[in-house]
Amino acid sequence: MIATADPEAILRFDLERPVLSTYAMPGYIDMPSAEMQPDGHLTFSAFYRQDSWRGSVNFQATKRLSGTFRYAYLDEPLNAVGSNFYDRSFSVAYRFIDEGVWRPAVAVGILDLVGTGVYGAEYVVASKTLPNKLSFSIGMGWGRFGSYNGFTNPLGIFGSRWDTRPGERESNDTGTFTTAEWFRGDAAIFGGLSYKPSDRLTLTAEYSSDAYDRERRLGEFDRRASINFGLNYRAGLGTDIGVYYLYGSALSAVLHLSINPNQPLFQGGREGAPPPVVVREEPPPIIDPGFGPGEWTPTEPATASLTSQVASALASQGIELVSLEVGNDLARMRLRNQTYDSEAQAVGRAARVVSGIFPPEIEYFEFVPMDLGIPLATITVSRSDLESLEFDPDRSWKSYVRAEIGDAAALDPISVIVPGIYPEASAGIKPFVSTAFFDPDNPLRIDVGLDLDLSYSPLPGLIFSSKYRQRLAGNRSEATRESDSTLPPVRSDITFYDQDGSSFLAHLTTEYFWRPGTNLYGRGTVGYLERMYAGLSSEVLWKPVTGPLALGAEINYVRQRDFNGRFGFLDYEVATGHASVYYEIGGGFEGQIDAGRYLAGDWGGTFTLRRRFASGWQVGAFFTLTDVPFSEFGEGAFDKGLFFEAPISWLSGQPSRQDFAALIKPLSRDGGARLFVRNRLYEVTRDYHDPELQERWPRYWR
Amino acid sequence: MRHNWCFGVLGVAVAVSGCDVNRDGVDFGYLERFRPGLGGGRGATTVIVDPASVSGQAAAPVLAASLEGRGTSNVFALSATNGNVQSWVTNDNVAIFTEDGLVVGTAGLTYDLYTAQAPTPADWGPVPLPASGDRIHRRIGGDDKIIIDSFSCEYQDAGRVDLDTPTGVVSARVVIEACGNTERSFENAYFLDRSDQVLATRQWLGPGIGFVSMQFIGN
Repeated sequence: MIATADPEAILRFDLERPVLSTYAMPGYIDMPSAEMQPDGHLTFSAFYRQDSWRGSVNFQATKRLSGTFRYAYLDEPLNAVGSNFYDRSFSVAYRFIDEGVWRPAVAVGILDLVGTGVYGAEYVVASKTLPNKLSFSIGMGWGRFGSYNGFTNPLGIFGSRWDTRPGERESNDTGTFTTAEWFRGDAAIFGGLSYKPSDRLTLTAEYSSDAYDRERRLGEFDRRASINFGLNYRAGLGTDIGVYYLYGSALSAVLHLSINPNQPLFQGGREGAPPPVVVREEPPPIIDPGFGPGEWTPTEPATASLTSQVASALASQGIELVSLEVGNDLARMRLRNQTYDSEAQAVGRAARVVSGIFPPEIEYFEFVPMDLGIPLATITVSRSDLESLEFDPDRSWKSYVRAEIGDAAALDPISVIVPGIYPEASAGIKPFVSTAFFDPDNPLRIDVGLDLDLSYSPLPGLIFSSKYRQRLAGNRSEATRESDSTLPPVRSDITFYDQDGSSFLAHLTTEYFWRPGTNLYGRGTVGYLERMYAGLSSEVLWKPVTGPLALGAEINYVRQRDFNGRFGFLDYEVATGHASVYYEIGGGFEGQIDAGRYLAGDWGGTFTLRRRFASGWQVGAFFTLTDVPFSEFGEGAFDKGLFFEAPISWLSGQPSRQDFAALIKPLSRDGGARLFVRNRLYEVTRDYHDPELQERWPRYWR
Repeated sequence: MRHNWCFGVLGVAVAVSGCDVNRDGVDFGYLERFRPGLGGGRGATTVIVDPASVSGQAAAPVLAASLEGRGTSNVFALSATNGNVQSWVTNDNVAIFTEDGLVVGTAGLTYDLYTAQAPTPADWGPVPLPASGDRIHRRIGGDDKIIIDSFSCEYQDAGRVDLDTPTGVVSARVVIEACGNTERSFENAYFLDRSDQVLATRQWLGPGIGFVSMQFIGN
């Protein structure tokens, strides 16, 4: 049966989005509205006007709050260091009043939260939908949005400091919060009107309060009028195309590509049907689970035969059996899920496929997911529940509440490993794309090539592995911008690594993972840890299977590697480490604080907020503050960035444990720089614990 | 399975009046596609699934099904039974689960029907119609949460047709299940034999799948 995308869902996705402005925020052309994108929406935008372009990423973090990262090029005279003018800015908008029958929606926004101030503008705007497919907004702006036909700031009633706005920022000030400018100086009124003659077409007009002072002063732009006109066409599959006539003098165009992590193209997945539950004819009376004497006493040959059958059956579902122990009424299976991005789905498939193998006396299946050789949880399901709930309308929550999910640390060591599981060796070659953003000489540098991965695991938890990265093409090695850092060049030397070692040993490590105790996980890593550092790394994590809180500690002693990416070293060495707190806030939000010593020897903390979606997507932001003063840190003032992670299964609809990750850092400096270590324990464990298990439990039956 | 449904006053009204079900607000337009068997002259038969597509299958229990929106057809073999629910699976691992002819779930179709909860033909087949009941569909959203769609349904007799099957033409009673909520409405049709077993059916499985037409063969 051919699967096609759900046309209703696609149409809904296309029609429920508001039109975005050239700043990639809900609005008209330059001016904003109080509308919000649907929760979780992610939009990538490209805007072009003669001698200027902007690339933006907008994320609707909650129903009311959205954030936008923007990277812009303006054709202006070369700055003091001989660069073209590239600007990074970060915007937020918050809708604090929702639209009612008569009441407009009202939102407040700041256009340049931590940037250079070139796009510095703040606003309050009210928007109302009218009959006949019309909507309009009226607002008050400050900064850029208060620069045309401005009047004395009404906030001046709170004090004279609101009456004037600080002038342009010095380059040393960039990257810090622009709080001293927010809502200061003259204010002005702006407005917008939109009309939708069809589902896909929107016509917009706006009265702009942006005088384009800076652009006019530099002779870059001719502002002849205050009315702008636009046409937005919704081309489908999240694509918007807009063309505009700006300020009586310029044409411009914008392309928006929107996706929603909660709305994959193939909702629910398009994997094949799971095997049916094999129902016992007469289930025996239920007794307590265990391995003691009972109705059925497994003999060694019987267990060996079962092991072979179970291993084969699980393999048919893309799951590997590590060990099998059979008691009087319980079968414990240690598993490696190599197929499903949802652990609940892996467990569900395993339960179904073994239901036809074990004798009827086996009432409980205890699954122990393994990763990196350590048991991460126990998930015990009753075979009777499996049989009775297979087609129950409420099977999802009923089976979840009846499953027992617990810690696996107290399990006896594996007595018999399924033949062929250990030692485990693997080798693979896969393509890579490595990007470097925001070099003023060339804002996008890319290398492509092949990664050669080798791994050997002689026994559970012990892993020898390496990756050699062979560059085939690219321009990262052409970067010539040298570090002006006054700190040890722990990251800013990346240019030399790109120049001298464009093909390099990415890692060569020995890792050992173990369970020190209940809710505890341990990791030790030694070797060439990452491209720039080699040494020792050890970590311990306390993380209950259920509960929002986890605590971790990591200590590393590393030495900087030679630029050529081979086995040599530079002179710099440092002890670094962090104590970490992880907290599941709820609603998919997760906070993380790492406090400790960074690579340059600076002390401080990293604050990370991420939103994880059940689909496997995650979107987050972080910033690091250390004892390095902003002035010493250099441009950008402190380390900060955004990151995304998208599962391949979201695109394909097929189960997959592969994903695509991207980190966007406006600048890569030396303050607040952290060691990259593979397989940090929190990320290793959380997929097998609540809330991840609970959120994805509907897939237990898929 | 438990069903919270009831036979309402409609059943009484029709039993008393014996009126034409077409006058009770159910749109039988769909049945026109089963031309001319319904209400037509003798010799005209209704075809749910092309008999040629299941030739040679009549001996084993199979389910011939076509997805109207996707323009695809396939033959499903009976793979398992759990209580009253039968699992039908194709060679390419698509499954349809039925309870007394009612589709209670699908797998491998994409936008699958996670579960469906409604009165089955075994519930309303033997009793006088019309009747009313509730239908609840569950499906998995992109965030892996269960999306529930609930509908109010009316069950009405729509006469008899001569149904073309691989084993010959049989007379079938037609029951229409007309369902709706504030967002959409649809009509399912069931073709029952004299013992109220479903011979063939057409059911709406959700916005991503649309209608499936099915014929049970060799049951």
